[in-house]
Amino acid sequence: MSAGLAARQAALVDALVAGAPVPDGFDPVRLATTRRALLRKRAGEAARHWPLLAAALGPGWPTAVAEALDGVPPGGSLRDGRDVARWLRAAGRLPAGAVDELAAREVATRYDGSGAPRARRAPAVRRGRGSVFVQVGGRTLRLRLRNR
Amino acid sequence: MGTLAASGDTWGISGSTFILFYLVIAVVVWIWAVRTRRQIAGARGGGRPPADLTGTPYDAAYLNGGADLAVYAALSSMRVDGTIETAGRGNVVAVGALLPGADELERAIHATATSPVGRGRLRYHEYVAAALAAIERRLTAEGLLVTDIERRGVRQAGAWMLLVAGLGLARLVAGVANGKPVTFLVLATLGAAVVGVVLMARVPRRTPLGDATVSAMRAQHHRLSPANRPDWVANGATAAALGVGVFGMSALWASDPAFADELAAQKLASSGGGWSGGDSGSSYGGGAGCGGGSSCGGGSSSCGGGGGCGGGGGCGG
Amino acid sequence: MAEGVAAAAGVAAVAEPGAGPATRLGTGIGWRPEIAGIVAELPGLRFCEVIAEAIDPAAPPRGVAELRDRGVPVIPHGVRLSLGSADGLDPERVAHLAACADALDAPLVSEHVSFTRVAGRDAGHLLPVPRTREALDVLVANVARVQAELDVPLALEPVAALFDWPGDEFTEAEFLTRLLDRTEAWLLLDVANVHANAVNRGGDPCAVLDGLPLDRIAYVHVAGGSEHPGDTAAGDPGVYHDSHTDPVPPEVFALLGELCDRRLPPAVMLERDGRYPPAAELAAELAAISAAARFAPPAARAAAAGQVVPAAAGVAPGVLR
Repeated sequence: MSAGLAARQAALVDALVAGAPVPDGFDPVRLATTRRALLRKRAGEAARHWPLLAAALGPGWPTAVAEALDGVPPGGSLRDGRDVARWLRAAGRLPAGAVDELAAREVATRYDGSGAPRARRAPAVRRGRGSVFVQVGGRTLRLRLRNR
Repeated sequence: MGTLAASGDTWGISGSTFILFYLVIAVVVWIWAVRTRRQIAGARGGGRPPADLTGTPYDAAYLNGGADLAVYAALSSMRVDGTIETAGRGNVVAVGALLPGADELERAIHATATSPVGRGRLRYHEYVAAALAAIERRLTAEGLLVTDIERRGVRQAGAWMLLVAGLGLARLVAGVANGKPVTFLVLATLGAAVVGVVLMARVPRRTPLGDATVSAMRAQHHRLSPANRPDWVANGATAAALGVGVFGMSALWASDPAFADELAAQKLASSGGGWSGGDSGSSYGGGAGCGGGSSCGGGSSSCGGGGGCGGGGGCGG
Repeated sequence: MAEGVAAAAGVAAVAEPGAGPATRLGTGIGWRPEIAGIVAELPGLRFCEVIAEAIDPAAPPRGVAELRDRGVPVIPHGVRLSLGSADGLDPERVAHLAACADALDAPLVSEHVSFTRVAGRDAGHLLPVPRTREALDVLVANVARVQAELDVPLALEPVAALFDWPGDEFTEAEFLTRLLDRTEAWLLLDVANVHANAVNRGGDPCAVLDGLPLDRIAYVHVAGGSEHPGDTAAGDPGVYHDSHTDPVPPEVFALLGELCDRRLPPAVMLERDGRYPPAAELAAELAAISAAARFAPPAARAAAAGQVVPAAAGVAPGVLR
């Protein structure tokens, strides 16, 4: 349609969500502001799908999302939240309140960090915090080990 | 020879004759039990339209899910009003002052939870138990719940069936002792036993009118369905009570997952809420992740969901 | 009910704009499932808008279907069509928008003057296009493509942005005027976006209003936002976020007033996407918007039902009536 414009649009998107350099002619300060705004927006959307994780981090949620997802292209809020949870866990910072939430997702879907999370066909078991999650045939059961 | 054979029959009745009579008795008792059950459960309410419990959401909750759900509905509503908070380990504690129009169950919970109380034990505390008993009396009087006497009547019908199974068992033992073939009798006895146990164990709690009322309430309040993830701040405390009451624990998971988790409310969440489902992982809390249809997938589209904008970060549109 | 029919009939008038006096429709709201119960009970609700991407046309949400059946016009509002994409549109998304319009008996549909996707990338956000002839041609071609598939008019909404492209050839108003002229699309004017752009990119919001073809307004968006203080040490100037999760600020109300001074819009609606206030506050905000847009309160309107506002009053022959 318009190859030149398409390329410039792609470069702009890359700069905003994929960590690419600011294309010529754009105000770097304003693009940085936009980038942060987009991350804040993604934080808001991901919180809807990861309510316990977002609640556990409280006011630290937007910061955690910004740190975890800066330069990571948007993958939809479900996946965005999963990326944040994995990133926090790798850093040893996954809040206790979100352990079960992540375990419940991991028992239901397979996700290796690229591509969309896919439903597990095989049964799976994951240990959460004081609970064990068992998934068989797409249904997840939560078995409590003890009272928290 | 014939006499000899006859004298060899268990209890002096031939196997084929017994099995015929046995089957007739079993079917007759079965039909009678089912009819009794239907008569007892449907006796009151006969032909009346479903009740509208909108004004008494905890009655709706009790009708739908019993005492536990009524307590959860009240806790949900009180959480929106800011009169109850979680206190760790599945405990709740009363905070602030109740609103003037607070329901009897709310007052009972508030008075009981002046110090932290386990949410599961709440229903057994004196005031709360009294409030719940009042709800049960109301629902029973309205013909929505089956009375204890009626339940006993229904159970008795099941007991007769078990008695039939007992007769079969006695004959079976005697037959085996006599070295007679008992295959048909084993099947018939097993059948009678299973029917009897089912009749005994599955005594209806709700009358047909109660069932109709629950269905009607769900239809009437579909906007509060967990699929919508109704916002409880906007919809208000009464809507929270109604949502949980009419739709069960999945409503709590959908609208206030943090509270649901703190209450460790998964015990009742197995029916369509909580952690169930999950082909896409979006079913956490029973909420509707995607509007559905073709619009969802595609790249990094975040499902549209409730709106075009997640909040906090600027929509631009 | 009658107005709902009128709204559908109003579409016919689009063929000959200015064909006579129009009724002013009134105030609406963005339907969201979280507040479905409240929207259904709002007094004097004249129309609503749904996010097209959140709707399955084969099975629209029950709350939306009920409003439609009550005669409340429902407008599908696309957010992911990416009309500004220089590499063309996704045909499935175009078909989806058209299917939504059919399923909801919509009097019109709306989308944004922006791009969200290009060359396999997705920003997940409505980004501005450069205000150049090249981008204008792209938009015109894409809009024509959508219009060809729609049975109802299309309204275009200018977005709020935090930055400008280098090498703009037009002002915002010039660009939009040309776009609307060439596409014959209607204007969905978001006064909160006009405000946000003025705060974040500079300029006089009233001058934008003066430059826009206000007679092309189909309806108006109003939304709340909040100021985010910047980190001045890092050179971050701070921004106004059009968040849709805050109350409508006085500046946006004032701008709505400025718009009404220039031309009374046919219809105005509130967009609220989260952190919902209690129902009474939401209703009060809608009433305030209604008053700011100079619509008669519900009671007065009921008394004057069916009456037509004289053309001399400067009422737009809008798409929504």
